[in-house]
Order: sequence, then structure tokens, then C-alpha cells
Amino acid sequence: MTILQANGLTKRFGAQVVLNALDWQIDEPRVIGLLGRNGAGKSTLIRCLLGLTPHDGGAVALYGHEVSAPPPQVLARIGYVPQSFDLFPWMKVQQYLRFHAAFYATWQPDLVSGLLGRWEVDAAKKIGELSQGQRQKLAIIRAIAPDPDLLLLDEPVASLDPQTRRLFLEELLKLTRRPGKTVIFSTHITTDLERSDAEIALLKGGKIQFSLTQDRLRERVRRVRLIGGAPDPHFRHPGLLRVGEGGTEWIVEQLPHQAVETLAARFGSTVATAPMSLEDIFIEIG
Amino acid sequence: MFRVWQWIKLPWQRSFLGMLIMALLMVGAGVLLVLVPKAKMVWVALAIHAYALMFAALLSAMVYTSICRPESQLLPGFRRSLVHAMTLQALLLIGIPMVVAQWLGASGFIAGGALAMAAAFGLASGTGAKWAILFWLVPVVLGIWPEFRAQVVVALRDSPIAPLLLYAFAALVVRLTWQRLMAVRDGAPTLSPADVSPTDMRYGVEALQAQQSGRFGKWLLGLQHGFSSMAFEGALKRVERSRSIDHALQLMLLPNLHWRGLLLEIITTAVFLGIMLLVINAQPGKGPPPSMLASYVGLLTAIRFQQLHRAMLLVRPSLVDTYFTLGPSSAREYAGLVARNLWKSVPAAVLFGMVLMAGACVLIAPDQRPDAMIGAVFGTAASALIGLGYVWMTLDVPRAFNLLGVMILCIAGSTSCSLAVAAMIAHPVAGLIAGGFLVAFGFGFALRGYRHVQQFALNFDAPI
Repeated sequence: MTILQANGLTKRFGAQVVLNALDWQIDEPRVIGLLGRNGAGKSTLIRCLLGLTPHDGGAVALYGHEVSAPPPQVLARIGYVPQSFDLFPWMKVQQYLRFHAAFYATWQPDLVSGLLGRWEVDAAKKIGELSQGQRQKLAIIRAIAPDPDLLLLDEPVASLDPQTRRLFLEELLKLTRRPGKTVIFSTHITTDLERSDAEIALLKGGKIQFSLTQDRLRERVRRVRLIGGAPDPHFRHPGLLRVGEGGTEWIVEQLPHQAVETLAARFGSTVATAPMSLEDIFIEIG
Repeated sequence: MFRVWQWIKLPWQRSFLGMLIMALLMVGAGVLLVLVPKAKMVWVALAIHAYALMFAALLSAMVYTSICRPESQLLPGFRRSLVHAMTLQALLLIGIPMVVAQWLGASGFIAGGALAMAAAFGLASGTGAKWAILFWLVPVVLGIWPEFRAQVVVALRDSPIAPLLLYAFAALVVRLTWQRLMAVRDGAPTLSPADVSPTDMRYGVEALQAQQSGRFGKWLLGLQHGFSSMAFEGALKRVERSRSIDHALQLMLLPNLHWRGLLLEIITTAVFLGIMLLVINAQPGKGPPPSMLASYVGLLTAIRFQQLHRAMLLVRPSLVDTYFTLGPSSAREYAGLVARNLWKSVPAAVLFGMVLMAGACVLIAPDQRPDAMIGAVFGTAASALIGLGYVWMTLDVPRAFNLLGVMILCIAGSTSCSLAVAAMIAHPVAGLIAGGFLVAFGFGFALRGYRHVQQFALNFDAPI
């Protein structure tokens, strides 16, 4: 069954079109990192996918059910971590978790108590008294606790320290290694995406530009160095994203290696591929 | 059942004292019936029960409003469990009193309808629905117009349709409230402190709740913002000329306190008051006593300061900006500067109260009007000073909503204004003595609060 399907999803805020007839389909369980620049609409997309904000056009279905009226059995399979957790400040942590536990048959109390201890979240404290990082941890614990099949996280680690971020990723990987689990998370911390070996989906111009494994992405976007001659730094060519280092460094996208070699030969050069980190790729194409 | 129990528990966890008082009132109503099991006493007990039920529903709805965010609706069976919890509570708190009323010889059908109405409007008020304010006019009109009340009672007793209308109306209100609770809307779930105007009656609504104004409300808010922006522009020019930041700081704290803002407030109040007076004036018979009218004026004047209290707590984290900009020698000095600017809210509140009183004078005998107005000057000044003292004394508390504080403000405001007007109408000397005493008391209370706030460094924490 298709896990998630968005057809022609459109969302406007006044005159600004944030999601522009976006199509996206996820058929197989996997981990997906949603990348996009500030204001690209990552949070809006996640909220629209979950039906948390009304959309202006198109349709979204989760596990085959229209998102505007998902049945309880579909909701029971979904976990969500919002970008900022500022709800229920008057509730104590334990009250908050007990309230949510009442709605799930699959709630894992042992996992919850274990994570509260390891992540040093005081269950007796009021949520309003927690730091932003601790609130984020609580939101993650609450989302993971019912053992969801589809977990959507909106910049879940933005407020976490490196140690907790690492622990969070471990928990996330534990979850995703089990069959049938899909995780979509937006983040700007590309090293986390590399560590979790997530597939990368790029949101740009209101559309998902691509959704690729990291290996495929590195094949698609490459940095090559020219050995020998070099073109003018203002040289332009389809598939050539940028020319740098006095014309000797090219960033290419969707340009086969053969084509790059042929192009370089015009300037009396041979080419060598230089490694690119995910962050480098994002800076070039984001 | 476990989910339903969680829902029922939530208002107790959030507002234990308020829920306890309401539960005790309901128990008290039951005890009254056991002690005096007469048909006449049934209606007294039902009135007490309805009052407690309405406020319990209001407190519950405030909690439910904060829970029913779009995110929460991802919980499986969320809506269904809330429906079950509300139905169970309706059966217990409306169904049982209905049966008891019928058993004791009163009309259980009418009693149930009245209780359903009270609960429904309590729920609607708790969600911050502006139209629910209209319901609060019902006890006011019934209270100050006994002839009209008698007509309503006769209609309910003799007409077979009237009780049904109560149920239908309650069902409609619950339906509208439900839609409001479960709405999925755009917008950040924040409420800017600048959007909390003194005329805003949503003092019970969580700060988290997004603005849900209708078209007219948005237009009015836009007008308010536009005027505030113009006033701030003027204040900034004054800062550039004289380097005095006081007026600009005052406008940051009290964005509607300038002549345009005050004029807008007076016009909207006058329109609202005019409609109410037209309704009351259409009824035959003798008008309400001036002291009762004055008590409402005092209450509305004092309750403005609950708004100010809430706005001050919400704006606290943002005050860091001006703290660093102004660079005072100490945080205590800054607290004093902020507190000093709040004095200006007193004349605005007195002006607001006097507009209300001037409108209310339509219902007062012409020869008593001058005395009522003079008494109201003292009464509203005392109410405003007590209200401001309350704001200062609670500037460093962690919570934005305090039921006890609201009750204190209501009692202090209504008592002082009604006393001042009653004394002035009785005899000018008595009025001057009572008015002087009340203003002196209010001033002393405010001064105590002013000194209190200067003893501490201003707390920049967001309220819990």
C-alpha cells in the first residue's frame, strides 16, 4: 500500500504560493531527509501532509486514506514532532505522557521511562519549566512511544546538544531498522542525514525537485577539477551549475561523466572528480 | 473509558481551585434540597447548580481549547473520546438534576433546558468565542429587569415550545463551540501582547490561542493596530527631538493608550452600550437601581486590569529588548520605569468607566444623574487604582491566569463603584466622604503595589 501520496498539493499564504502543485509519493518504507532553504515550505509541507493546516488545492492520502478524515487505525500509525513545542505549558511531563498514552494500544511505557532517564527529562516538571531542548526531547519521546509506522519530524534536533542529537539518531535508526517503518525529517544539519543514510528529498520552488539516495545524489551533483587548461570563469553550459577557482573547479548536475570529459577536452583539460559533502551539494542546489 | 477519565481529569489538573469551588457549589445545591425538600427551593438549588455548572464548563473549555490543537487531532480516537467525556458529564450534571427536579415537583424538562443552556454558554465562553459575551447580558438583563424576567418565566412555564427552544439553542451553541474547538486553521499559535486590548473580554482564553476574529473583528483590530502604529511614529519623533523614551515605552506597554485609541474604544463601547440600553429601555416598568448599574460599571472598569496583567506577563520576554536599549543602571531601575508608565492606564480606565456610566444614566432618574456621575468618578478611580495595584503586585508571578485575581478584581471594582454612587445619591457629604475614602484606599493599594514592583528586578520569563 502507498504510504504517502500527494497529488497537485497547493498551499498559499495570501499571494505567496508556498507549495505549487506538488506531487510526491512514497511506496516503500525508508528514511527521508527533507531539505530546503529557509522559507522553502518544509514545515508547511509536513503540516499539509498530516492535515494540520488546510491546503488550497490537490489531495493528500496517508496509507490510502484522505488526510482530511483519516480513520483512527491510520492515525495510530503516525508520529509527529513539531518544529517548536510550545503547547500545554501547564501540564507536568508525566501528565502529558499519560494523557497521550491513553490513546494508543501500542504505547511503550518502558521505552518512555528509559528515554526520560537517558535524556534527563524530569517527569515531575511542568512543560513550561522545561528548556527548549528538553521540550524537543519530550516531543520526540512522545512521537516515538506508540511505535509509529510513519514518523514525521520537523527539524527535530534544532534545539538539541550534540550528545543528545547522537542519542536521538541512534533511537531513530533503531526504529527505522525494523520492517515497515518510514521516517521523514526536515533538518539543516546535513551530517545527521549522512549518518542516518537517509534518502534526500529537495523542496524548492514549491515542489519536490527530487527524492534520491545519497549515492544517487552524489552521482547527480559532482565537483570536478580540471587538470590542464581552464575556461573563462564566466563560462556557462547546460548542467554546469558553477565555475570556480579561476575556471578549474566545476559543479555539475545531471551531466554524465562522458559529457564532462568532452567539455573539458575543449579547453585541453582532463577531469578528476572531487568528493562533495551533502552540505556542499545542498549549498550548490538548494 | 481510560481516555474519557483523562479528559475529565484535565480541568481539575489545570484549575483545581476553581473546579473545587464549583463542585462544592453543586454539592451545596444538593444539600440544600435534602435539608429543604420543597418545590420552591428546587429552583434556588437549580440556580446555584446552573451557576456552578456554567463556570465548570467554562474552566473545562479553557483547558480543552489549549488541548484541541491540530496536532492533538492526530491522536487516534481523539474527537470520539472527547464526545464521550462531554456526554458523560452532561448525563451526570444535567440529567440527574433534571430527574431530581421532576421528582420534587418542578418541571425537569425546563430545568434540563436551562442547565443545558448554562453549560453550553460556559463552554462557548471558555473557548473565547466573542459571541458568547452576549450570553452574559442575559443574567444582567434578567437581574435589572424583574418584569421581563417574570415574562420569561411565564413563557417557559406555559408554552410547550419555549423549553424545546432552550434545548435547540443549547445544541446549536455546543455545535458551534465544537467546530471552534476542532478547527484546523493557518497561522502561528501565538497571541501578540499588543493584540490584547483593554476592551478584549477573552481574559480566560489561553495565550496560545490564535486570533479567530471574524471579518469585523479583524477590521477593528487592523484599525487599532493602524492607530497604535501612528501614535508610535509620533512617539519616535518625540524621542528623536527630546531623547525622552518614556512615551515610546508607554506605547509599547499600552499600545492603545493614545487619543485615537481611546476615541475608538469609546465609540465601540458606546455602540455596544447603546444596543444594550435599547433592549433594556424597550421593557416596561421601573428601571434598575443606580447602585446596581454602578456595580457593573465598576466591575467592567476593574476587569480591564486583568487584561493588562495578562498582557504584561505575555510581553515580559520581549521587554529584554528595551532593557538593553535603555541600559538602566540596574534591573530594579528598569522595573520602576516600566511600572511608572503603567500609572497612565488609570485615567484611561476612569474615562472608560465614565462613558459606561453616562450611558447607564439613561436608566436613572434625571434628578439622580449628576450625583451618579460624580459618585462614579470616585468609584471608577478607586476600581482602577485597585486594579493597577493588583497588576503591579502580580507582575512577577509565573502564571498568566489567576481565577482568584479575577474574582478579587470583580468584587473590589463592583463594590467600590456601587458604594460611591449609592452614598453620593443618598447625600453629597456622605458621597464625598465615601468617595474620598475609597479613592484613598485604592491609591494606598496601588502605591503598595508600585513599591512592591520596585523591590525586585523585572522577571523576563514567559508565563507558564
